[in-house]
Amino acid sequence: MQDAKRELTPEESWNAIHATFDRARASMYIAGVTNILLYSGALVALAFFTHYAIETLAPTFASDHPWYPGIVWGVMGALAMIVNSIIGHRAGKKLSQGDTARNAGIRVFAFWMTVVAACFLIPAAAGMWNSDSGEMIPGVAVGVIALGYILFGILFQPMLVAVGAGLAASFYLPGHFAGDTALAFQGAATLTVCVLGALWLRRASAS
Amino acid sequence: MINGQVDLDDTIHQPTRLRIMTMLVAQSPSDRLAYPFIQRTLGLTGGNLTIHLRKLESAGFLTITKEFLDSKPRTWVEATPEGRRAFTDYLSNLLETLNWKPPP
Repeated sequence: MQDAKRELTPEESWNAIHATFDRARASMYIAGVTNILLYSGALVALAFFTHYAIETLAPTFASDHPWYPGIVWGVMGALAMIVNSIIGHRAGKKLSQGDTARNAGIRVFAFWMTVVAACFLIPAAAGMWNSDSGEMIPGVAVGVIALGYILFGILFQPMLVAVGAGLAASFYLPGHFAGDTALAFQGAATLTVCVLGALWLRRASAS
Repeated sequence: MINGQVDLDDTIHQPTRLRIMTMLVAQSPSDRLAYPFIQRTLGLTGGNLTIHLRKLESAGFLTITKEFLDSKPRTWVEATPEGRRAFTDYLSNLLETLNWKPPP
């Protein structure tokens, strides 16, 4: 408070203008990210648990329909994109009205559309869309999404870097160490990372 | 220019008001920001923000509008053309004080 009453030097004014501009821009770009993380975590966990349930409860169905995970993950991915866009749009509308918020929303949407497209295109370019290496595609997709979070975090909210690293660890570590129960561990770990990330962000923005 | 020093507008040249005006002027003209967004981004208490908004409003640098969005009351803050001009003048004077020269 004392500091706020003191008159600024010209250099401090210049720095305050830059810092405020950056902070306002970043806040606009991460509008709704707490709810998006919670929703995404729940959705991805649901996909993992569905996948795990089919593998354990209906192994015949799983072996007769080897492409079913593609349908499960495709539906979840499409749902996540649609609902996250709505959450982001609604959150942005509550912060600001006008061109700046709209442009920020379009850029965020384009960023994540690029990430999702990369999840399909990178395995396609590597020739993985076939029955031999198809099961490795989720590993690539999770890596791309985790990198998306890390890049977005570097640009606008450093905490999202930790979320990206956490998402990668949630997928790869159980995949290596949990054997047949990997899918269940991956679902639980992803949900935990998203919930912790959302709580962390909410706490940081409240303080 | 006063005693070799460039005169900076006192209404804007105050830490909190400078940050409020920066946030508002950084938006496209006719864009408006929600009161809680400004409060959260600048880490201010409601009382502190209101005092500075009133001061800027009485100088004619911004307008405050209250309306309902999704059946909830919302307070919007928007820089006026006069406020944008004052901020631009402030910035020019600040650059002059800092002895900044545009690249050739």
